[in-house]
Amino acid sequence: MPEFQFQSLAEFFAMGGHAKYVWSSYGVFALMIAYNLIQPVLAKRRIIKAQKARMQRNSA
Amino acid sequence: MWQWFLQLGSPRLFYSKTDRYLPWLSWITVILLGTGLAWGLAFTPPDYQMGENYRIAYIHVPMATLAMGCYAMMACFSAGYLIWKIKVADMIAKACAPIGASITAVALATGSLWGIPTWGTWWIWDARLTSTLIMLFLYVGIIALRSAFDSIDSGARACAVLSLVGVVNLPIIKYSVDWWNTLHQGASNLSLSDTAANPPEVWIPAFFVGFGILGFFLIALILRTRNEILLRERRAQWVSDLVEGNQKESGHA
Amino acid sequence: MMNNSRMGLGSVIVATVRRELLLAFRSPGDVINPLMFFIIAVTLFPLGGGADSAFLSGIASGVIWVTTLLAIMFSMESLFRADYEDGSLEQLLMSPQPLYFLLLAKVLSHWLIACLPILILAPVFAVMLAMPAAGILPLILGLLAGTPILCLLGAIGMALTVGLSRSGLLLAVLILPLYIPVLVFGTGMVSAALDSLPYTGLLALMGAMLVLAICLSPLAIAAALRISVN
Repeated sequence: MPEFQFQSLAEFFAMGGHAKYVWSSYGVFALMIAYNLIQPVLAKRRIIKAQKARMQRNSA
Repeated sequence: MWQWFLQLGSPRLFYSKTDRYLPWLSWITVILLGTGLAWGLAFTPPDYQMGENYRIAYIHVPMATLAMGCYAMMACFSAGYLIWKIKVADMIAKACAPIGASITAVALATGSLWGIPTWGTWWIWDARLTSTLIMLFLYVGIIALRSAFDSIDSGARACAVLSLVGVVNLPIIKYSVDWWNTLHQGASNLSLSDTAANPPEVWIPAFFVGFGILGFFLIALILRTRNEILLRERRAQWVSDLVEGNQKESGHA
Repeated sequence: MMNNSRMGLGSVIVATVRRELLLAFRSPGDVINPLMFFIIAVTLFPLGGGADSAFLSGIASGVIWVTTLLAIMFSMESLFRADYEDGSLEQLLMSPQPLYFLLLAKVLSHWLIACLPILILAPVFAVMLAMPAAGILPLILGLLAGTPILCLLGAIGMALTVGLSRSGLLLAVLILPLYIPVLVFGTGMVSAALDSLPYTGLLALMGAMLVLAICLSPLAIAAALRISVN
């Protein structure tokens, strides 16, 4: 069974002195994922809003 | 199977079917990515040569693979659009470009961050970094070409032709860059992707992360494609019904 | 122009090339401008980087190749633009002759007009950039095999963008990444020769790419032109 490889949480965050590189890599990765999920959701909201406005114009 | 595939070719059915798939896909992705990343970050032993730094590889390697894979996928859907005139195929191909570009950018960024401690510099003209950079140029070209056209149809066909031209050139470009690299600096033998040398406790989490990232890619692709469907089918009755349904839901909330 | 459908294939190609050359000599800018661009751009490198001959000989093949590549890319505008505007591109697409060969003939004549002068001047500039004599022959052979590939790929990009009003920089973004293999093997031939290694293998590779480009790119050009003209 895999074991926790670090003595403490602080050591985990320090990543054996490579904290900067490891955590900024994972940070960039997380940002990319967030962008690719949030952008379509916002875009969908915009599209639906525009569609509603168009439907109201047409029915008016 | 074939029936199912044909149904996905209709924008409306694609929309309603993916409605059902998305929750499942999301849960599987969250579980895979969560376990894989936690495992890779904290529960696998450090590399004896690179120490903790090699943990970057858990995201770098799948990103770099997906950068190429996404381009191949875009080309396949482009071919599908050109040959069978399936509109959904073009919408998927259109969705591939920005996702692929952002994945390629992350592959480059993680590659350089990994390079600082391993190579002592954040950028070297390593064959893989260079061909990933060129990959990014190819994506940027596709996005730029699409946005230059006013007509959706012409833009779609032009992009399809360009991505097919790109996919024919891709192996040649990759081969030439590999050759160029050996000429100018000798092959760098710091490659992490040769899994043969890696023990199971290293590659099992990599497997989890890899499939998790694939799941994320599919979700992002489906979300973008659905938006494109809504936009292009906005005159269809089912889209109006959908928007009205949405209105009711938000009215209740 | 070529409305006689019983004309043989060879004479169609000859007629197309002759027409293109005639048009080029009526507007000599198409011949002179790529050449002048090449000359001026090459001159900028010693002025910007220093005239030290050791430095220059290190970058000579790269400078000549990159400048040639850019000159070809900028010259692409004259391949389809005028024909697109006066409608003869539409006629070309509807011509009874096989489009594949008509397009090859057009690209061939563009190569004669825009690339051949550069090719003739390239050794002169190679010497001015202090390239050792052993590098000159592989440079010319490389350019001879490589520039037609660049023209064919550039024609695809131009065909895709000819319908757009401002296409200059878009064209660069589209086709420069595709130019990389030619650049790599072209400059590689010169470096190999300067290290007294054989370069015929690379030349053969370049030839293979040329054959591939001749086979496939007219198809892509035709598809792209149909999109742009419609």
